[in-house]
Amino acid sequence: MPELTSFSDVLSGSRVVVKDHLCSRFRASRSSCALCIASCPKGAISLDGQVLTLDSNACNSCGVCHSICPNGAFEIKGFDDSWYSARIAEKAPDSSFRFSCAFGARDAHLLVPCLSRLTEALVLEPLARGFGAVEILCPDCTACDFGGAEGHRKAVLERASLFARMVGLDSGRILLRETPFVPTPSTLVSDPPVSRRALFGILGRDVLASARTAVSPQEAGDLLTDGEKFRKGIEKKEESAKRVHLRSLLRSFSQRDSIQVGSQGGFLWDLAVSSRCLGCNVCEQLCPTSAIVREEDEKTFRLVFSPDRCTACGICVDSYLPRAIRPKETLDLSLLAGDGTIELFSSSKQKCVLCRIDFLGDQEGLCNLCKTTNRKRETFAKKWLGKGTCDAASE
Amino acid sequence: MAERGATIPRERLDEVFDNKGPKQYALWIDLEFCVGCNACTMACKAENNTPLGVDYTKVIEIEEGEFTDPKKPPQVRVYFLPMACMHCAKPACLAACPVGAITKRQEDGIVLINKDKCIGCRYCAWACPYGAPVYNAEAKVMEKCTLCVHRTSKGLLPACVTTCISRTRHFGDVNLLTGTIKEKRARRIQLGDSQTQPSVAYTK
Repeated sequence: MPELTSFSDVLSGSRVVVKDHLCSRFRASRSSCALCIASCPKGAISLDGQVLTLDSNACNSCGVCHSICPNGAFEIKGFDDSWYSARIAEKAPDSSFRFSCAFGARDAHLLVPCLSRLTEALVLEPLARGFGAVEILCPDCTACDFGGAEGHRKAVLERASLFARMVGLDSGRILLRETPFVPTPSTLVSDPPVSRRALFGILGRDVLASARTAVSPQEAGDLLTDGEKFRKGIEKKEESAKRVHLRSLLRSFSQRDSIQVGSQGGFLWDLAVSSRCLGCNVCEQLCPTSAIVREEDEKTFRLVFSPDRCTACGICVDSYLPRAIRPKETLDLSLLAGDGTIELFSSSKQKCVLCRIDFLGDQEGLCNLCKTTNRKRETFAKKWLGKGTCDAASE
Repeated sequence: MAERGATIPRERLDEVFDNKGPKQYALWIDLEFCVGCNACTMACKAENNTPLGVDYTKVIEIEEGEFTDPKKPPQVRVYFLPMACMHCAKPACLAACPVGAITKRQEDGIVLINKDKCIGCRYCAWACPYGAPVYNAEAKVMEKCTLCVHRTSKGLLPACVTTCISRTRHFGDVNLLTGTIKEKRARRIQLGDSQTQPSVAYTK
């Protein structure tokens, strides 16, 4: 059980921290992602404008949101994936490793609050550590008041089986078994009772620590406007811990077979950019994991894609007005384990003689935007004031 | 190769909530009097302190006809169309913005770009049927006519309206302006794409 380190941990029922800058809704107003809102068993997540809000009283820290968010915008303080992998590593290799949930089999090797909390990497980890098989002991989810995320659990297990096949393991080694439903949950999620002395001890330490590391409101970013917060947020790019975990796990296997899967309901995408690309940099600026990077010099513009970083969050596709970026219909799952980059697009670059801004194209002169804008305006002027309309007005 | 460009899909425009509030500030531009002096352009530049090449309002000047035969009287004319942001009821720029930087204020119907949020992708310029938003390369953001919101909030008129030498430009609530236009029986013209429902009124 992770130690309680701060007074707010004791007071707050929730261990979930939302990283706004990884949330698709925060980064792109055109995103319609609502995976966490739809799957939260307690309905604790809601959207306030473009920012996710978490009702910490309703939240029971089950961690389904952490597993379902493609970008990993939710962090479970204390009970993160590394804590669970450490628990897996403690167990001596056996014929099978049993996962179960708070309402499931108590004799399992590892209890998670809800089986939808499992990530692909956690399911595969026992196999990588020498266990013969992974058994998911699942009680009847319809009886459980967590509920609501069974679809995600199935998707995770399906993908884990695919990954197992990819690294040359028999996908039959991942098994889903039914187990009787135990109506009283194990006390895994809730923190152990704290004595009054311990509680005040924690409070004292907390106050001292916060006094020592006090930050001014400016530093903490409390005085920023919404726009400045947004700007700072989109500049922050990071890969989620769960993606890093999965990739390092897959790379630890030497075998990597190519497995073709559809991009629907995907986990990563193989992107393609058509020649209509405007070089607007929206995909690069809004991508939460820097999967798309622009490389520019005086005369050329290139878009470089790292498929292993892509989470199929769809920000680039949803935001892109010229509709030049699209996921390919099928993709090779082994891209996830690789570290290569793909050149999506390259073009020569010119400077517009009117607006002095770079544009993509081979011909010098005006950029297409300047041309289009001028054409639009002239069309209006000619339509309403041009020849013929003047006479009609004087009649 | 397909021509590079972007247009706003109609269905996306339909998604935009019709933001008609109780009040809608707008301009009435009476083209009968415009002489194309560009005083509005200069007043706007001075008021908003915009760099070279960034003009929130522009006067489009079109020459037409020909004068080839010196024996005949010349068949030529020049006409002017001052254009700025139309502060549409359903702004195409708002629908195009990937980061939600553009808002239409409920209290006075002015369409504003939040420069802190803007990432300078120029989708709004592609989407706008009037080509109103312009890119400020120094600040790396899009800018456009704000109907001088810093002046109008203090009860002053926009800079272009106070400067106009021929009283072409009038500022006020759109309902009041429409009433005045009807009184004067001038011909109102609907500029361009009625899908975005522009608020700025033109008469000639």
